[in-house]
Amino acid sequence: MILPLAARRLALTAHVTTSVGWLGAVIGFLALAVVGASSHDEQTARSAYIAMDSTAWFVLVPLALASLLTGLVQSLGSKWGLFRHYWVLFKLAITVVATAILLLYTETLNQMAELARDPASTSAELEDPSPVLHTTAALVILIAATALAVFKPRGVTPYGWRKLRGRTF
Amino acid sequence: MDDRDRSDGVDAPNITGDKAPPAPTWVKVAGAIALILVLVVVIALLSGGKHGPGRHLSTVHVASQAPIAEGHERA
Repeated sequence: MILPLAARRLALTAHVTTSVGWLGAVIGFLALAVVGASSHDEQTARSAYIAMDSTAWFVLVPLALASLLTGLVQSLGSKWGLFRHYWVLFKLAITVVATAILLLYTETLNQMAELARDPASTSAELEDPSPVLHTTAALVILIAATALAVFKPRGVTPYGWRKLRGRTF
Repeated sequence: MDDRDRSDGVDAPNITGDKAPPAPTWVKVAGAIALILVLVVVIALLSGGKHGPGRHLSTVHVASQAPIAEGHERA
């Protein structure tokens, strides 16, 4: 169903806001991850891991889910469709995979925050490059998704081609 | 570069002919990269044995939090 123009513009605004917000939040999260993995001050490192856990639940996860949801509305409510153009398909795959990995990784972050809260844990145990690696990977694929949305490279899927032909003839 | 406004999906591609056009080069390249990345992750998961919180914690803490760590092995 094609949404009216005003609704499409509203959906697009919501999708851009949540998607770019997610990207920005990942950059902020990366700063925390770097501090947690490299800070020489034990209290600072502990604080970074605890902040990462909260940031993931209250910022990253809501933005990721909102980006996915608004993207579905935006594509299904416009002529782009969800499976007609390769760029939309790739962007959907990136968003779904990134959101799934994020949801799985919240468990790891929770464990790290628990370790950071434990006074018995040592600074050597706290230093962990995992959040930096995961966040860097997330940043790369979210930038790729943003580039796809901006450039919209040409290419119609076989399904999209059949739909377009059906509309023409 | 084509600077038409394509924000609403209004520029229909060339749909002449009886067969769907082949996938563009960028799709093939991106698909190959995605496939390689998936294989790398699968190989890492298979060779590493487990991937998740237990992998990131020290032996002492994994042992002390065994029920939780075991729960993460499925991730």
